[in-house]
Amino acid sequence: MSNSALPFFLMFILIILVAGVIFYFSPLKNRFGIKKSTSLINLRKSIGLSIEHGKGLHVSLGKSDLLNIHGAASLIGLETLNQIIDQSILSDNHPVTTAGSGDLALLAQTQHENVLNDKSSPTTDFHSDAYLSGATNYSYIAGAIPPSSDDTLSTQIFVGNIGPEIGLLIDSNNKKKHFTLAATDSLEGQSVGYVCSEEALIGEELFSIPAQMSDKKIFKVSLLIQDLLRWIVIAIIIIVLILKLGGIL
Amino acid sequence: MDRNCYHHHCSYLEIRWDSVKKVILIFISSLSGILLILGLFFPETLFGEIRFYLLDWAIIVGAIALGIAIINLFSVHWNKVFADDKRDYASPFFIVGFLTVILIGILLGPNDQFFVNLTSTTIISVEASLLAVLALTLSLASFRFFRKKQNLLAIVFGISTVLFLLSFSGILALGEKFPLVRTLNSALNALPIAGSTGILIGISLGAILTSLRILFGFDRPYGRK
Repeated sequence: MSNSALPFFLMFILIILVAGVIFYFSPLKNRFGIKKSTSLINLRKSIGLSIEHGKGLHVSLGKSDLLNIHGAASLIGLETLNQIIDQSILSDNHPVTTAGSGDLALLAQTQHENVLNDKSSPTTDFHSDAYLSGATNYSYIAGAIPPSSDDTLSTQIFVGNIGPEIGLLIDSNNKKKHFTLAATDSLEGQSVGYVCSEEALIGEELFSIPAQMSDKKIFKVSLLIQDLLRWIVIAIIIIVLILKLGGIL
Repeated sequence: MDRNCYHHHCSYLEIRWDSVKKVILIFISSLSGILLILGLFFPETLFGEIRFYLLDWAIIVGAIALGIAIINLFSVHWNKVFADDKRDYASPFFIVGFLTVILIGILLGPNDQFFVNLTSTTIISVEASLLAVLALTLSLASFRFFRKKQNLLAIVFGISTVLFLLSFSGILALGEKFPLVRTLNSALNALPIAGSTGILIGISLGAILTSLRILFGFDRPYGRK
């Protein structure tokens, strides 16, 4: 980041923090509701049906590690995994998680281990429930194809940073008629996901998953701030446009 | 009775220890997050140096995590080979390939030309074949798309796909000498830039908020609540 942009970024963070404090501690947040996404409603239904029918779930967390710009999408993937594990805690079939980066795979294993501890399950084999399917883009996809074409599955969720190669995974799901939700921060991945999968999240919808799947106040506040910032950005764009048309800028 | 009390005492201690662990974890993650942000805004101060060291540590930890995850991947495939149910027939190929590459790499060294050629040829040929399959899959998916989704968004998507395929093929550039076609062409080319910029702004806002939530310790997707 260039040094001239730093004060603007600092101002941006301060706006976020001030808005966060106001929304979190005031009843203002109760005036706004969160519009439920039909894709996520269908996902919850599908998870419920999977548990009822004793079928499995496959969650794929994408290929990005936490140290680069796509790390936020991977973190959303982990949060989603947390919620899904919470929902499927009563299922006989453990969800299977695949990831394309080492740190993400180990963090996903921690989530699975915690569930086994919560359930006081006698089995301790959480290592094969969450694993690295491949260390490069295409090896990750090649490694994730076998668990995603498993006959005992009924629901598949792709959340994180996955490029257009997501098409290969979704195609193997479509053949088995599994429910598929594609949520990625990659533009190419989103368009392929939209064409190939049953349900796809477009744009920043990916970042609304935690708020949609959990009742935690912090997620709702975060989503409200995201909306507020979006309106601020829209207002700035329109003002700059008017100033440019007026010949002032 | 004594034994029961002893047990209660134990579980109480266990719960307390869990809470202490959580507090320590939140403290360390929030402190590192705040130090990283301060290092970003004040790079010439001590915070800048701390940020540099913290990022270095994170890269080292990430590399170690990758090593552990690869060993785990090997063990997953090893178990699948000998499993009674859900036996995966791709696993033996993985194990043979993995061991071959590891052994050659150890014996010849990672910079040996034969080793470099072997690994890059394998990776390139496999990735090229996957890309070819992807191209076919996407062509088929685009045909199936209109059968599956019949709404306004799908129609707009379909029309814009055809329009931009034509535009990027250069067919519209033939009429560049006519001012109307030139204006139409530049307006058409601006549309995908505007659309993708809009989506990227939304994604960036979401990413910033997610990162801040985690950096300040408000959310811990890496640990269970």
